[in-house]
This record gives sequence, C-alpha cells and structure tokens, in this order.
Amino acid sequence: MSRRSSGWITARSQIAFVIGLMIAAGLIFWLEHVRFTTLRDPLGIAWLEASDPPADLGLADADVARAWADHLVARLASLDPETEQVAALLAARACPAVSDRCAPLEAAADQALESMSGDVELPDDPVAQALMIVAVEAALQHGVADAAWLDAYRLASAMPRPLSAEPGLRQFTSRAAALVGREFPVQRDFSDLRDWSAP
Amino acid sequence: MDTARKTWYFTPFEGREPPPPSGHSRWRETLWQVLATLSIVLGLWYLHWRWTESLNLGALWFSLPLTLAETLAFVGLALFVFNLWQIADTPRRPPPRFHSECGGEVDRPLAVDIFVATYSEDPELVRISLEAAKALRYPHPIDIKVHCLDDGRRDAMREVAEDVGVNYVVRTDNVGFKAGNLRNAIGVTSGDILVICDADTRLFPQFLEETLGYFRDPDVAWVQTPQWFYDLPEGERLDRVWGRRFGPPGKWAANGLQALVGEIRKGSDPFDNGATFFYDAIQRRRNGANASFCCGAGSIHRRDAVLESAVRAYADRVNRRVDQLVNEVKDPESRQALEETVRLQYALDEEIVPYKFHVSEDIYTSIVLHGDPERPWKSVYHPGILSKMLSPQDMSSWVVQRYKYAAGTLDIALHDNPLFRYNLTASQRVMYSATIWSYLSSLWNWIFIVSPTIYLFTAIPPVSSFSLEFFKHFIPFVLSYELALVVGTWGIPNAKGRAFYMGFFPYGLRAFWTALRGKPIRFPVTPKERQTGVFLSLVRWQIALIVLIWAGIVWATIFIVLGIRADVSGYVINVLWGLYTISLLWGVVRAATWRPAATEGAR
Repeated sequence: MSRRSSGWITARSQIAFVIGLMIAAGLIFWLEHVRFTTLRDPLGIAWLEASDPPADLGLADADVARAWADHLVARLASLDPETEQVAALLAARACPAVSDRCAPLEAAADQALESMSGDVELPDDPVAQALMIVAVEAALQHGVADAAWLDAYRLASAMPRPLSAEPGLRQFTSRAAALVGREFPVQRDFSDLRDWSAP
Repeated sequence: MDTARKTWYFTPFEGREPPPPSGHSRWRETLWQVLATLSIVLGLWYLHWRWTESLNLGALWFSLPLTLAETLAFVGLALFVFNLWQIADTPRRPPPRFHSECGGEVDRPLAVDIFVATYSEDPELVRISLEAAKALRYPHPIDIKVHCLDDGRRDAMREVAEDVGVNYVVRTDNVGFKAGNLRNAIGVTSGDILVICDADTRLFPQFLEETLGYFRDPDVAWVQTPQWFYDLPEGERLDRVWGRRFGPPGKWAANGLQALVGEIRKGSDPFDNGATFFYDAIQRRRNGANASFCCGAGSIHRRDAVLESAVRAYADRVNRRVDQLVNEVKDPESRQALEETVRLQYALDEEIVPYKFHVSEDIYTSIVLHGDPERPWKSVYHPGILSKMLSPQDMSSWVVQRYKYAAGTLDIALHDNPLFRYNLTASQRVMYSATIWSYLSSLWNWIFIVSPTIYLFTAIPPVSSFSLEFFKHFIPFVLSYELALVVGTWGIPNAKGRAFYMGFFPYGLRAFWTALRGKPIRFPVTPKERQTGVFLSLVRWQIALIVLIWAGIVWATIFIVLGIRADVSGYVINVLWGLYTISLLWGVVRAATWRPAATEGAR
C-alpha cells in the first residue's frame, strides 16, 4: 500500500477482522454439525438407531441379529394402517444415507433390488414398490449410473398414483424428499412422487 | 428587490440547523468490524452451499440466474463493507496565513475564487448564494473574489451580481455546460484556491476558516464538504404518529423500535435526497483510503492540482495522436520529420481542459487526480456541514439526477475503467469499484424482484428446497449482516436508500444500456426547477411489478387453500419476500405522487 493510503486500516480493526473470522469459523462448524431435532431424525429413523442394529447382519451373532429383527417386526406390527408400515420400511431403507449405524439395512435393500434387476417388473407389493422407488432415488442421488437402476426407476415412476394418496405415503414422500435433500421442485425427475391430491 | 421580503418555498426552513456528523465510537466501530467480517464469511459459506448443494437442477433457467444475482450482490456487499470499514478523518489544521504555508513560495495572503455557476435559476435565488459567499470570514488577511458564472447571459443576473458587488463572468457559448462554465472561469481568474458552488449553494461564514487548513499538506488537491439539503420535509417521529393512532401502546412500541434501530420519522424526505448516508457513511469512510471523491458543489480545489492534471492530460492526448500517426512510418528519418511537423499541429488542435466535459465530471476528475502517475494527489473529506442547498423535490428531477449519476459513472467504468488505468492504490481501486458496482446492481436487482412472483405462479423453486437447510445457511448470513449494518451505521438512517436502491432498476438498466452503446447521456425529461404533479409514468415498471407480485400472492393463496399445492414453506417464504419487495417498490411509487405541503408556498 502506498504512502497515499497507508496505515488507514488500524491494528484494532485488523484484530476485529481476525475475531470475526474466528467467530464465523466456529459458527459454521457448529451449524455444519448441529443436530437439530428435525435434522436428527428427518427420516423417522431414530427408533431404528435406538434399536442398536448389529454392524453386519451376516456376521452378527445369530441371537443378536434375531433380537434386532424381532425388534423391527414388533415395531412394524405396532404400526397401523399398512401404509405406516410402508413408511417405516422406507425409513429403514433411507437410514444408511444419513447414519452409518444403519449400513446393514442398505445391503438388505440392495439385495432386494438386485433380485428385481434381471427382468425388472413392477412388484405388486406396495411395500416393495415404495422400497424400490426410494432405493433407486438413493442410488441416483449417490451417482450410481446403471441401466438396471434406471429401468427400475422408470417403472417406479410409472407406478399408479392411488398409492400416494394414503396418509402414510405422504409421510413417505416427505421422507424420500428429505433423503435426496429436495422439497418436490416441480421440474425435478422425482416430482411424480408429489401428492397433489393430498388434503 | 428586497430579498428578505420575498417568500420562497424554503423560507420556513431558514431557521434549521445542520445536524452534526455522526459520532465516532471506537468500540462500536470494532463491533461493526467483527460483525461485518462474520457476515462476509457466513455469506461465502451460504454461496458455497448455494452453488454446490442447493441449485434446482430441474429448473436451471431460474435457479442459475438467481444464484448468480446473489453472488454478484454479495460482491457488492463485500465492497460496501470495505468502504464502510472504518472512519479515519483527516486531522484539522489551523487556517494558513500565507500562501507559502500551502506549498507556495511567497509569503502573501491566500487568494480564493468562489465560483457560483448558474444557467437558468431565478437571479434572486442566486443573489442569496452570492451574498452568502460575500459574507465569508477568515482569521487572517485573505483575498476572496466571488464570481457569478452566468451561462444564461441574462441582464437580470448581471444586475444582481453588480448589486451584490461580485464579478460577473459570461462566455460566448455553452460548450460543456457546467464543466465548460467552470473551465472558462478558471481561464479568467487567478486564485490559489477555487470553491465550486451551484446557484443555490449557500456557504456558511466559517467555510474557508474550517477547510483551508487541509491545504497545508501540499499534496491535497481538493476538500469535499457534505451537501446539506435543508429544505427537505422533516416528517414526524414514529412514536408521535403511532401514539396518535394507537394510544400509549403504540407510543411504547415505537419507542422500543427506535431504541433498537434509531430515530424513525414518517413523511420525511420522500426522495431520499438527504444524502446523509452517502456523505456521513460512504464518503467519510473513504477518506482514510484517500478515496473520497469530489461531488461538485461545496468542494474546494487547489488551482495547481486542477491545472497540472489538465496539462498532463493534454500532453498525453497530443502524444497519443502523434504516436498513432508516426508509428505507421517505417523509415526513422521520415518518422522524425513527420513527428516534428504534426506535434505542433496537434498541440494547437488540442485544448487544455481543466474539467472534463463529462456528465460525471466530478468523479472523473477525482479518479484522474488520485491516479496521476506523476503526482498522485490527495483528497480530504471534511465531515462537518459548511453549506446548505436546495434539493430536487420532485420525481422527474430525482430521476434525471440519479440517471445521470448512474450513466455517467457507468460510462467511466465501461470506457475509462479506473481498475485498469491510472496509478491508483489498491484501496482506491476497491473504493471506486464499490461505486461502479453499486450502479451495475440494476443488472441483477430485477432478478430479486421478479423471483418471488415466478415461484408464486409456478411453484418452481429457485433453490432445491425451502427447508431447514436453506434457513440454516441463509438466516445466519442475513441476520449478521443486518446487525452489522445497524451497528456500523448507528444513527445514520438509510431505510429509504434501500428502497430507492432496489426501485431504481428501470433507470439503472437504461443507464447501462446507454453507456454500453456509448450514446450521449440524455433523458427526455429536463426539469429546470421544482416540478409539481404526479409522475406515475416514471414509475410504471414499479407499479406493474407491484401488481404482478400481488397477483402471484393471490394466485398461490387460492391454490394452497384449495389444497392443490402443498408447498407451504415455499409459499410463506415467497409471500414474505414478495411483500418486502412491494414495500421497497412502493417507496418509489409514493415519491412519484408526493406533493409538497400547501403551507410550504411556491418558489
């Protein structure tokens, strides 16, 4: 800086600048890691995490795995109507996207999709339908590019709308949207998940 | 005519006292700097999130322009923060007794020329300014000459000048308008110091006493004082208005609000002509970086600086023309012979122009003097008000004035950019960039205005989600910036300035288009004096947008109520955004319909 404008930024203001930087860094760090209640459980998976799933279902002690599976079954059984079960299952599939503790669920979902990838057809079971949608969405969100996924996604997109009219499916779409970080922009590809007819 | 007996529209305001410059609290300034830094960093974090995680990839036609607009606006915000960073007033020095104390070689009293430029103003109005200039005081012997520069060449004006006892100066043409008028005056006067006044500029008696001390520094080229428009409607305090409407609860609420953000006055200065923010915040805080620029009326200039710079610019122009011609000749002998021949011719062709004939000659001259490679001059901003003048109190005058400021500054930016030319310091380049950037803002401000309408009609969001993630990034940034601004500009009102900053965009776009094409900067409306009436045609774009936003709000509300749309969070955000935009645009529309109170009389 030349003599014409040297020294106008005082030491005090430079210290203020550094303090501002430090506060900003701390605030950003906190905001990036903060677990607001709604952030903590955007997919409704808190009960899954709380159930303490084994790290690997395949390698887990049989008693531990069974205990955890019983826990899930009991939880699902407590839900009524059926669409709530759908939502819960979807949450289970979505869980790995936000928590490493749910990693075992991802493998199970992948397995289910793999079984469909050969001759892809729209499954009759609404639970499987919804599971397929979310699994494919998650795959697309994480950059998986595979013809089988895309075929499944195409079929899933063509899924009949009545399914989404149920209250539980509103929850499902909400969670699915949260999974991919979107809130149903009209022109996004998953906009067909939107339930326009919901009250 | 007896001036004292003539009633002007501003006569009732004659008793007003100028406000003092805002106080300088070091702790408040430090807090502002901390908060400003915080907001800048949070802004960068927000923009990083916008570009990397929040674009609506399915509607890039919408999300990309808005994100780009946000980014460009953020650049302006950062420049603005740099501008406002801190106050660094130039220390006052005692008024000099001799010219030698200001860089001269002889111990003689200073010679000062006061230029009062006029064209078509009422001679009796100019008389008041001339009499004020005649009444200047100084603690030492001094040679003050007042000159009435009449580009209108009017007999009535001559009679007034002779009556007051000042020099009357005319020229044979009006080339260069005000700049040409001043240039002509420089040619027929010889003072060491020049004071520039408009026809309505009334200098206070202590004007020279308080400013000539700065010229003890031989590098100081000019001193700018604040322009105080003392004829503006003062309005009424908010607590009185709300107290009258809502009783004691209203008064308490208003007092609470004012305790938080400073005094609020309803009905004051509909055109934001007060310029307090511009002078007390923007100009004053450029002083430390030696980057406050000249604003014409109320400025004091060192004649040597004006002429030195003009001669250097003249020599540059001659050399440039000679070089362009002789560089095409290959043979050295022929080239030298040609150069000797044409140099004299070009030297005779070119004119020494102390003030560039440019619609923004003030800022242009400032850039040239600050960036003079041989003799980089200094400027001083004196924070205390030392003169008073009249404001353009109608919409057409306001539009013409602001349009010319914008087009003139953009013309300089596009064709003589101080970022790439002149020997400016880094701080000066940033400061001038801040000014230019603010005038470019019309290019993106309109995107902020139309965005909520697009969403309300289409439900297509420009961000991936109006969700917690959005708020988490957006709110800390906006809150910290607003808080920083409140602290950093404590006591300096700027609410109307924001409204006009956003609402200016139709004229700003037009100014940009004019400057881009290099067309003459003109505006169809050319008011000569205060206009009265309603100027809705000047704000038709603002009115159209207000109607459009309201239509969008109604449309989206119907869809939400009928359950056709379920995007409640996006709806709420965009309705609030739309209402805020309406409030900004409404400020401009209301100014277009404003009429002075009947009790103020007529000029």
